Amino acid sequence: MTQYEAVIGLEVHVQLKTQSKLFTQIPYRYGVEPNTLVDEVVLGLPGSLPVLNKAAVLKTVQVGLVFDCEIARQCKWDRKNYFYPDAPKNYQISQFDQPLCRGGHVEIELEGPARNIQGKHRKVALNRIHLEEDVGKLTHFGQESWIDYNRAGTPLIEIVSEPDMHSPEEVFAYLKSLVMHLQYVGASDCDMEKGQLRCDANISLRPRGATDLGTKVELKNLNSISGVCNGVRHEVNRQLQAIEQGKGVVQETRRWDADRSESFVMRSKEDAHDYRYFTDPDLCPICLSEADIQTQEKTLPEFPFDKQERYLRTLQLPYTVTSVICPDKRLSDFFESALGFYAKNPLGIANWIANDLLRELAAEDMHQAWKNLKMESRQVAALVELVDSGVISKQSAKEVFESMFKTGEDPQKIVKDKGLEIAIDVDALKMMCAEVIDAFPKPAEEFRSGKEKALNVLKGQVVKRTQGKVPVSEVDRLLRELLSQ
Amino acid sequence: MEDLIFGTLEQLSEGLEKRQFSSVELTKAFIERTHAVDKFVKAFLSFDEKKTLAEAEASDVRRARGQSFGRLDGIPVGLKDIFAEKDQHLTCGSRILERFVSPYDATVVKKLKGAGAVLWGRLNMDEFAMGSSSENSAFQVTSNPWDLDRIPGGSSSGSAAAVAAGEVPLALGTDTGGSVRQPASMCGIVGLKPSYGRISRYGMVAYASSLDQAGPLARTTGGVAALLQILSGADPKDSTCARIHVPDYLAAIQANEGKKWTLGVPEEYFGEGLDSEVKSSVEKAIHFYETQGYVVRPIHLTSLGYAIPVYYIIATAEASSNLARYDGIRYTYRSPRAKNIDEVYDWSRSEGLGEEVKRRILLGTYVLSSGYYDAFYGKAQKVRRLIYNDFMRAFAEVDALVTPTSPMPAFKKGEKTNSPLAMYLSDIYTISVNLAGLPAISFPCGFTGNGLPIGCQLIGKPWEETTLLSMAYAFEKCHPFNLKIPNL
Amino acid sequence: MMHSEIDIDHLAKLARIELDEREREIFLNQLQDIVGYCSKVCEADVENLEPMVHSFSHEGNFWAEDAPECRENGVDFLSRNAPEMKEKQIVVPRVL
Repeated sequence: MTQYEAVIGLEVHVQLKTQSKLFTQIPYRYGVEPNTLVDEVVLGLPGSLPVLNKAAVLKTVQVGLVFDCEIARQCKWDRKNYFYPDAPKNYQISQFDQPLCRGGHVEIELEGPARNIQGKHRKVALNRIHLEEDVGKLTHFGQESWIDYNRAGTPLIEIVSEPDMHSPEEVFAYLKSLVMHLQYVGASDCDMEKGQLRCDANISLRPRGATDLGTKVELKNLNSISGVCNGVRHEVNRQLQAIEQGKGVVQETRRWDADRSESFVMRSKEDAHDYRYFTDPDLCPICLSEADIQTQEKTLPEFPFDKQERYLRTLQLPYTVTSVICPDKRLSDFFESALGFYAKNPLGIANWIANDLLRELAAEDMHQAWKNLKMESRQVAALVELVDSGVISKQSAKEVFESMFKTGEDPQKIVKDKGLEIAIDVDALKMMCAEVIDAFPKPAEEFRSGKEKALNVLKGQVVKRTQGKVPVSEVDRLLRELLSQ
Repeated sequence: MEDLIFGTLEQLSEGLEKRQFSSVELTKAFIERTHAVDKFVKAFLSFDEKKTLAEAEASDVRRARGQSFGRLDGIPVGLKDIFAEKDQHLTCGSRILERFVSPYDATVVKKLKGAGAVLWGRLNMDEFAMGSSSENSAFQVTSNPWDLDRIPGGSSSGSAAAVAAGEVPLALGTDTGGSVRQPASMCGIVGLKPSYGRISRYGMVAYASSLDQAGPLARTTGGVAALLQILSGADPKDSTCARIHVPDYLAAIQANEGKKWTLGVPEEYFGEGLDSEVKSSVEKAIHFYETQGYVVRPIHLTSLGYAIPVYYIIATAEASSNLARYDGIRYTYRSPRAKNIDEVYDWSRSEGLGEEVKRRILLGTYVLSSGYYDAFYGKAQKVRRLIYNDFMRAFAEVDALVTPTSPMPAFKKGEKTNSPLAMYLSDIYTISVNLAGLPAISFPCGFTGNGLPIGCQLIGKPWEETTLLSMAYAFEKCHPFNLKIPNL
Repeated sequence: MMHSEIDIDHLAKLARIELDEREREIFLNQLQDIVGYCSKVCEADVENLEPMVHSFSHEGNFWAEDAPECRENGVDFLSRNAPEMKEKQIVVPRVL
């Protein structure tokens, strides 16, 4: 591999999260009874005509803005003609030479040297993003194929990258970033299991240092993120072998079989389709003004990588925590909302969200869990405040959190109901502290001679003896008092 | 009742209004007439008497309650078998849709129902509106009511023939390259192709989407105007239907009475290939306008020679894509011999589609295919602009153009079936109008020595249907050809 | 004519129409004639002309709000005319 460099471009299809289909007002939902979400337009019945869904266009514009694309002021619709049973009209309405978005790039973060260290960032160049309609779904049974047209006509964006990636790791980082940004703007949930994101890869090899592209192979049917990486890795190796064995690479389209971890030829260059693209006479061009685009720009949230930088720099959160919270807009929104109620301890709040909240949410279906979430950000803020001010111990806080998540009750009420306030017998605690100082003379002496850290050993011992039921701040205060005498 | 079947729309509306007869009586008269003559004319592909009479009854009930929907309420209207009508057959004259029943209404059908029209029958047509004679219908050849050995024109053959034969007073056709005007001309009635975008195409089966436009046919200009009134206007379901003001056509015709316009006579339309009887008849009509005080001036439309090639490139390209959906998979005929998916496609289409349709699909596939697109389709779209500009230059000087509708009167069945190109050339005067998206009307201007109707065409500026209707009405008032009826 | 080399079998394959030997020959001859005739467009001087897709220029966008409208009995749109159906799905001979 040292002699050769892989050059990889991705074509990613993403289902847009609109209420209705791209050219008719029938809704789309995953997993409903076959052929119930159809009408004359979806089925391409004789005489039916498409009418464009405004929201699909505007969402595509938003995605284009996220990735810094140039947004077309005017573009048109084309028909891509080919026969396939899942395509109701035997042409797909798409955008051929005038995509809604051109150029742009996706910022990616490569894996860091360790989990808690931020990786390098780079930009993967995009070629274009265009809007088109999805097809129906085929299921194969024995000698038959069954067709469900529910999915047909759903808006899809195709995000086409430049051949600007060079390893499966970059591909992985690219897809991760793509998904994160698309979810951020609410363009799509990107659930690959539900077919909301599908991926094809164009892969070629070239001698390191060369600028021309080698013969490319298109790899299809990459339908999970790990599938994409495995498929790409396998294809790079396959091509490398072919070159090393002197066979060379043949231009073709191959189909990835994730179960067998192998790819198979689908069609050769000679069988390339002649799609006979032409402007769809049933639709009018799209015209977007500067003002239209600005309006969309204003709807955009702070982007995740910017947010992460801010958390790292301004809030001084550790990288690991930001890498959990920032990619998920709901988590980061929750975090920032909580911070609004109690700004003194961002890390305290962030830890609850990145660890405990996420764990509870992930215990069931995430979407459902968010929908059903009873706990409010204000309550998490209050919980942290209760700990910080010594009202409850950290250990009790765990119990409060669990109860809060289940019931949505205020932490103050839970603390009260369960009697979790720390009832401190200061005299008894003082005595215990004195005992610990006696039992551990060495750290006590070290502290006295100015070694601040030595106090932690003593604190740990007291906390251990009290089974964590007293606030550390109080232990700290008493120990210092005794040691200074 | 028998005199009613050749009455004008005005007479029929008035009779219903004055309770001289009911809609059921009127409708029955047309049904009886259809039973009597359609075995010769063969204009109807199917009809549903029960449904139609129920619609007539409903109209009578409305009228009795004083809730009539207006001028068209209770009037039978025939539909070319290309408009989707819920629960009715929609064959487009094709074997491949022989058993197709539409689950929805076209916008024009909704509008007609909303106006109280009584929908009578599904009328024959050249398959998918491709043809000029009805000989491309998969089911039957319609006869010209004036001479049963001759074709009625096409592709709205059944629509024109049924109106001419008194089987229905008004009918709806479609016009992609002359398919309303040419059969209207050959059957001696009035037919209008509105400006592209005037009438919704939703539910009208597409042949060539950028050229197709529905058009009314009737025995008089008034009937055409009344039908146009109901059908015109924007439709949220058709992106290509113009959001533009719809005038009151009948009021405009009255307001324009006695108005003197400027007419252009494009010399290229009177050259080689034009039948001498047609020529002299149209020239007489032009002379009539002069006597009425119109300014008539010669004009040049040099792009005429490109009209047919451009039309056949653009129309077939669009058709090759529009007709791809008839594939044996979802709702059309599926070849019972087909054992694998390729055979389902190849054999269903091969068995289900007629020769002319296949020919045009192949031509359209060719002009779009890789390596030929620029030379044919790309170029044709530019020449289309040239043709449009040519018209616009003419309209800077004149209000309308006057030409023959068809270079010859109705020809004999079978006369041109062996030469597709000769058949194509018979559309020479109508085709460029569709390419430019203009409105045009054909009205009867005389008869040949052996009694065949001759049509005169007026071509107008975009959205100026009123001008054309007013001009045609001026002629009709002094030449009541609608009183002449075929001997059946 | 410059464009008269027509690969009729390729066209039939693209258009998915099975042609028998007789049709193949007839169509090939006729298409050659028609294409020859249509080549006339090549002569036209169209410099500086924009291709014409629609016959009138559209003012503003034609689009609909994203308001879903569920059709009852959606499957009836299909089942009424379907050549073969099982459990609400269209059935065809196995694809691939």
